[in-house]
Amino acid sequence: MAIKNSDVMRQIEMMLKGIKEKDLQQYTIIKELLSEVYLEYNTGRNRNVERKLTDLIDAEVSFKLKPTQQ
Amino acid sequence: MIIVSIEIENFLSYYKKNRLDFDLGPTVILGQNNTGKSKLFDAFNWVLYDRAFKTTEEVWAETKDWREDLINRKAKAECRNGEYVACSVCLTFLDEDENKYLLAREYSLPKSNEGNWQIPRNSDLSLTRTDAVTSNDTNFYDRDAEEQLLMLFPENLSRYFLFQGENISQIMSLSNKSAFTKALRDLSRIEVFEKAKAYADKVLKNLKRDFENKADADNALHERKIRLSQEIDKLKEDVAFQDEQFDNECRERNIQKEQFEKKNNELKMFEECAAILRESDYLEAQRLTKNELRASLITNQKRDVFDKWMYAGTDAILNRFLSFYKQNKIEKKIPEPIRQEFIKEMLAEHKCKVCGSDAADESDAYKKIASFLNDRSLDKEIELINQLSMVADNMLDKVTRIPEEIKEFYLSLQEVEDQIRSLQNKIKAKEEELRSIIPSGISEDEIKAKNFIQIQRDRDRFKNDLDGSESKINQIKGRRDFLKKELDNKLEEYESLIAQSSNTKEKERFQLAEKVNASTSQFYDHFLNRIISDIEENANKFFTQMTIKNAALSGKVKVDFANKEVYTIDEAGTRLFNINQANKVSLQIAFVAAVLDVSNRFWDNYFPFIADAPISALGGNNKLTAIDTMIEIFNQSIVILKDDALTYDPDNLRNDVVRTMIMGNSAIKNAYELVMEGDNEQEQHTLIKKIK
Repeated sequence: MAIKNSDVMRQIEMMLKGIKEKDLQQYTIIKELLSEVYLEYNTGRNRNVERKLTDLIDAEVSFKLKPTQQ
Repeated sequence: MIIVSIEIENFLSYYKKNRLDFDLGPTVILGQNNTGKSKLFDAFNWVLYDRAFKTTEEVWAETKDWREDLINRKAKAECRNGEYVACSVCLTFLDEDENKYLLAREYSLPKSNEGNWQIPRNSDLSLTRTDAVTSNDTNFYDRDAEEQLLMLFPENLSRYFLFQGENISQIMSLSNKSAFTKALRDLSRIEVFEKAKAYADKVLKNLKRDFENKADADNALHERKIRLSQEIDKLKEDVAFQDEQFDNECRERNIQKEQFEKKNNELKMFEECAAILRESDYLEAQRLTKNELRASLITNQKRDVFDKWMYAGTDAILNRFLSFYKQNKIEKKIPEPIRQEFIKEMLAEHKCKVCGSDAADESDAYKKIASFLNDRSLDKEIELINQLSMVADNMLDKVTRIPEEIKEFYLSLQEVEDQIRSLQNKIKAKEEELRSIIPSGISEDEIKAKNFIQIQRDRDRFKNDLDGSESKINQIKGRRDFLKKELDNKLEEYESLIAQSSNTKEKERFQLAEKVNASTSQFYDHFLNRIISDIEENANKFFTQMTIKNAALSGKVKVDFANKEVYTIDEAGTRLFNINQANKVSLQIAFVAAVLDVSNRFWDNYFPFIADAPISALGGNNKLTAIDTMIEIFNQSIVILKDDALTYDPDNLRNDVVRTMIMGNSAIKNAYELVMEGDNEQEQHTLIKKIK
């Protein structure tokens, strides 16, 4: 996005501070989920959030399982 | 966002280029009727959203079909054939990072050589963003510009920060549940969390399905997993159903509680009224009796008093008469009575023993002496005089008591009249007491004719319904708790099955999705609770500020999220139903301002508050306190107000409360006055004067 509402992102990050300290995996996903939803809400355009959230979960799981598989 | 300036050219009542500058904080713009106040508000609406108020139809409308009407009349009249009139509104503003934006909406209206106007289809929209750090410019045009603009000034929020006082009831009808929800959702942007929750929920369902659909190495485990999952889903559905039932029943209970309390209050009120009326009637009966007593006192005593009044003062005359008599008696001026034997002796001796002269038979002297032998003898006369004296003594005694008796009568009269007056005062007090509690439009006769038994029955019926509802709630709660416990057991069992599953990837995906889902739900609840409590606190603060100078307004603001309503409550927490119009408007403004303020603070995204006649429904003290409050609430406010001063009268201008407030409030750095210039309709246009 050409114009990114950095203040909103800061606000979301502040809300997620508790999770970040406890569960980084969850933090990464929820932060991205909330920012995508925020952009979709503001622009009114479909951003395929459901697909993106599934991909995010898959990515985190793959990352977690990778060392075990090796 | 901070508005730096607006430049208006040939738009509606604004002829050629006109500019208003704004600072952080409040700006007040005053104008009498038809000086261009609402046209200024239109200019903000047009540049941001391509809409303006169509006065002929009294609606806000997109301007694509009536662009010609937007052009200033004078500019059009002066345009020659083959030339064009340019109409534009430019808005300069800063975002929270101090990036600068120049927004321009404009179009030209060409006039053909034959004198016909050629109306353009669209207006041109341009947005230039100047980066605060690098000073680089980025330009956006038309659709792109519109998209960027909506990110900065979302249209769904526009009716709250572009605030039109006359339409407040349309924006925020306090009893309208959908308006409440809309205002709260729009302003708080809670929808972001709702949507996130919905997406997390959907993804969880998909990943759970993936996990369950993939066959496990242990077939028995897989089958148990499927069966248990189905049971859990069924239990979840049942719990959700019970939750819904519980919520519905609670809502029903609240309605019944409200109805019961209303009926109970109605009954109490009527009973109180009836008791007052009974007391009034009793007092009235007493008053009538006393009036009769007074009348009889006056009638019966009137003659007596009159007579007594006639005799009043005669005691002095009687006194004089008696003392005169007694004095003469003492001085022996009244002769002693002459004995009859002495007269007979004088007749026998033919000699008067008083003067010594002879009194021969049949002589005059003899006859004179003989005359004392008849009834007119002196001792009888003296006896008569003595009797008269006694009568006078008696009369004197009576006359002396006259003033006392008159006094006694007046005291009795006064006592009765005092009693009448006291009763009248008591009746008046009862009437006032009655007026303070009697609902408007209901007469005393109607209260007397009220069927209390019927109201009592209605109240008892509501109470029965309420008790029934409470029992039902307890029953649902018990059932729900039972199902929840069963669900927890199944979930525990399911957890142990998941742990035993050999489908690691699907299991991890599902478990992570569960965590994400739980967290987003928590965020939603947390955000909602926080925002509601902040809104209520702020609304209360603003409402108190706005109503503090008006004793008639009282109560605390209650933001009832469960019932989706905003209202005022008393100290005991009871809802106040009879709030006046000014109170309602103040409550609406306070609520909208509170939601906007909380939302601004939460999202760190400050919208300017641009208000056209925000307080048109308020008057007197409320008006000034409302302006003060609005000025205080928002980082930047541009408040357009109707000028009530008589501008031709210097004394009136000097004493005008709004101007005094503008000049005295150091927070107000800019203030403008709009005036209409030009002698006739074609020539008239708005002139902007800076007054501060």
